[in-house]
Amino acid sequence: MAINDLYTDGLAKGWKIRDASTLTRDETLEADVVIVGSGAGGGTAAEILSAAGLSVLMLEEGALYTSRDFKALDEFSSYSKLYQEAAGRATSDGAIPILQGRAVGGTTLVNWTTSIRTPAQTLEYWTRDFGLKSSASDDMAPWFAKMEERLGVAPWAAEPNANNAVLRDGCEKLGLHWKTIPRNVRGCWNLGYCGVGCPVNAKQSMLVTTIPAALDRGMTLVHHARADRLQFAGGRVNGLTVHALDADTRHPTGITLNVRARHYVLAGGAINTPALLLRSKAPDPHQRIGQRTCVHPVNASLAVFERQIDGFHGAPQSIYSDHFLWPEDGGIGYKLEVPPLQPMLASSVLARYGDALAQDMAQLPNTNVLIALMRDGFHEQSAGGRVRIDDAGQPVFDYDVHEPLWNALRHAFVQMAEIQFAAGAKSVRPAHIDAEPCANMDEARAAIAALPMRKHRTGLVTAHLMGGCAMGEDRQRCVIDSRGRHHETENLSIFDGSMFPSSIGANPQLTIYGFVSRNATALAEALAPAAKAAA
Amino acid sequence: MSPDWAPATALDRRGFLKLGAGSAAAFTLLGASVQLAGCSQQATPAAAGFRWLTAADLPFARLLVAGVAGSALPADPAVADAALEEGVRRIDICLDALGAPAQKEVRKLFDLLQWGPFRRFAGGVAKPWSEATAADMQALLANFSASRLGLLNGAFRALAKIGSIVFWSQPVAYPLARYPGPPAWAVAALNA
Ligand SMILES: Cc1cc2nc3c(=O)[nH]c(=O)nc-3n(C[C@H](O)[C@H](O)[C@H](O)COP(=O)(O)OP(=O)(O)OC[C@H]3O[C@@H](n4cnc5c(N)ncnc54)[C@H](O)[C@@H]3O)c2cc1C
Ligand code: SF4
Repeated sequence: MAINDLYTDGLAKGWKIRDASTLTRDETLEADVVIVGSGAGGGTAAEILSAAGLSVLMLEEGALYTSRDFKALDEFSSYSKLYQEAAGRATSDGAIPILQGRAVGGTTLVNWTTSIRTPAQTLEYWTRDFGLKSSASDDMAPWFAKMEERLGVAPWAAEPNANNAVLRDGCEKLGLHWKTIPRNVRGCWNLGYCGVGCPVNAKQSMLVTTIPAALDRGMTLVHHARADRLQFAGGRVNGLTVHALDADTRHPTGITLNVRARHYVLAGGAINTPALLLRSKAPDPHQRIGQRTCVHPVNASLAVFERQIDGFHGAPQSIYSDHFLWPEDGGIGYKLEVPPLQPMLASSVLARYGDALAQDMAQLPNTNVLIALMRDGFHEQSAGGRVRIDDAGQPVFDYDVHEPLWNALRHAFVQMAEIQFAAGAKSVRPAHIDAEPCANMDEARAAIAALPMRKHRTGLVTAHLMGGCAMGEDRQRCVIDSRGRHHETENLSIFDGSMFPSSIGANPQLTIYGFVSRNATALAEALAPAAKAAA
Repeated sequence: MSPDWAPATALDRRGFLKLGAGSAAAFTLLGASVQLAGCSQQATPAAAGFRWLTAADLPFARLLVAGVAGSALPADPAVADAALEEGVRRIDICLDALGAPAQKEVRKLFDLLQWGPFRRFAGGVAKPWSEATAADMQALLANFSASRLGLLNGAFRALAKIGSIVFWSQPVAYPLARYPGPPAWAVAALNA
C-alpha cells in the first residue's frame, strides 16, 4: 500500500522548502518571524503565526526525512540520522545518555506519542515559586484541549502490548494507580516503531501536521541550516547568523545565511536553545540562562517472563502509573512507564558485554522493562543541571545527582520489581552494573538495598529535556516571562522545552504544545493586530 | 594549553590509583601525559575510508565489537568478519556524529587505550591491540567495570554501549535476540 508522501505532494503544489547544503552563495533572508527549530515548539508556533498572516521562516539544522524514508524500520539508520549526535549525546560526565531529535519535526518525529497534560501540582509550583502568571490548570485547559484536537490525542483504544500489560497487571494486582495513555495518532498500525520514525504518517508529529499547514500558508522552511548567533543591540535582536551544513549535516559548508526578522522565536529545544543564547552573549543579568535544566532522570528494571512479551512490537507506550509521582512526604516522586524493546535500544542500556550480554539478548522476546521517570527540579537538592558552552560555543551539560534523587531511584527499583513480580515475572534485575537477576521479591529487596547508588554504576538515561530558560515573572530566577518573551529583549521569544522552571512530571510534548499555542497566539496578536481584527 | 599537566609523564599503578574516583581532572591529566609521551592522535587524520577513526584506532574498534559480541559472533568466519567490519563502520559513524566536546573526551580515552602503561595498569591488557584478542578486550571491560574509579566505570559504559549498538543493530544478530524484525505483514504492505 503506497503511503501518501505529504512532502512530494506539497512540493508539487509549491511549498517553499530549501536545502541549505546545496547553496553556493551567502544570502540574506527576511521574514516577519524567524523560528529556529522545527520540533514541538517550533512546529506549533509556525502554524499559528503563519495562520495569522505573518511571513514565517523556519530553520532546522537536521535534514528533511519523510514517511518513505522510514519504511525500513531500521534502528541504526534512524538513530544515527534522526537524533542529536546520532543518539550519542550525554551529560558532560557521560553518566546520563540523552535522546533528542534532530530533523524536520524535531523530537516529535521520533517520540513515543504519549500525550499527557501538565499536572496541576506542577503548574501550582511554577506559579508559586517562579511567578508564572495565568497558567493554572483551568487557564491552560482550553489550550491543551485545542492541541489534543489538532493532534488526534485520545486514549489508546487497542489492547496494550504485553510489555505495557505487565505494568497494568502488576499495578492492578497490587492495588496501585494505572491509566491508559492518550496518544497523538490517527490510523496507527500498532507497529511499535515510533522511535525510528512512523512509516505511515499515523503519528501526528510536527512533520505531518503543523509544518505542512504552515507551508500551505506560505512559510519557508530551510533545513541543513544551523542558527549560530543572534546579534543583540539596544534591547533588541537585530540579526541572526546561520551556517549551512553539508549533506550529512555534520559540518558547515562555509555558506552563511543572514536572517533579519521583526521577531525571533527560539525553538531548538533544551540544551541547544540556552547554548545559542550563551554563544550570542544574550543579556542575562542574573546568570540564569542554562540553569535548572531538568531531565526526568530515568532508571529501569528488567524482568524475564515465561510468556512471550515481544516488546519490540505494538504501540510503545500505552499504560502509565502515577502512583509514586507525588509522595505524601513531599519528596521526589516518579512516573512509571515502559520503553519499546527493539534490539539496538535494548542492548544499549544493558551495560553488559560478551556472553552475559548474549544471554540477555537471547531472552529479549520474554523480557519486559519498566522505567521510572524522576520528577527533578522541585526540591532544593534537585535543581536540575546546567548548560554551558565550551570555548568553541558548543553545548556542554553538567548534571549532578544528589542524595534525595538517588534515594528516589532506589525506591523506584524496589517498586518496579514488585510490579514485575506481581505480573508474573520469573526474575527481575535492576539496570545497574552490580545487579544480578533476583528470583523473588525478598531477594530483590535485599539486593537493591545493597546497590551502590552512584553515577555510571546505576544505569540512567533521559529523553526529556526541560528548562534552561525558565518562564515566570520573577526576573531574578527567570529568563522569559509568562508569555514566553525574553525579559531583557523586546523581539525575542522562547517556545520550546527550555521554558520550564523544572521538570514537568509528565512526558513533555503536550505541555510544550499547550504553552506554545497560547504564547504564539498572543505573539500573533501582538505582531499582526490586523489579522485578529479580521478573524 | 593548560600548564597543570606536567606531573604525570610516567604513571605507575599506585600513582594511577591515587587519582580520586570520578575526578573530572583525571582524564585531562592522563590525556596530557599521553600527549607528552607523544602518543596522541588528536591531530591525526582519519584512516582511509573512515570519517573519524584513525588507523591506530581500527584494531581496537574491531576488538571492541568482537569483545562485546562474544559468543553471539557468527561461527562462520566470513560472516563474522563482515559483522565486525560493519560494526567498525558503525562505530565510525557514531563517533563522527558526536559534538566536539564529547569527541574530545572519546579521543582522550582512545589515546589512553593505546598507551601501554594505562592499558596495562588500568585495563590489565599488556599486548598492543593489534596483537590482542577478544578475550583481552573482555578483560579490559571487566577491569573497567569493576574499578572503584567512577571515571573507568564511565569508560566501561561508553565502550559497552557503543559495542552493543553497532553489533546488535545488525540483521545478522536478530536471530540471536529471537527478534523477527518488523512485522512481515507491515513490511509487505509498506513496500507493496
Ligand atoms: C525517544 C524519545 C521518545 C519520546 N517520547 C515522548 C512521548 O511519548 N511523549 C512526550 O510527551 N514526549 C516524548 N519525548 C520528548 C518530546 O518529544 C520532546 O520533549 C519535545 O519534542 C521537545 O520539543 P522542543 O520543541 O523543545 O524541541 P525538539 O522537538 O527537540 O525540536 C528542536 C529542533 O530544533 C533543532 N535545532 C536545535 N538547535 C538548532 C539550531 N541551532 N539551528 C537550527 N535548528 C536547531 C533540532 O535539530 C530539533 O529538530 C520523547 C523524546 C524522545 C527522544
Ligand atoms: S505505533 Fe503507530 S504511530 Fe508508532 S510508528 Fe507504528 S504506526 Fe506509527
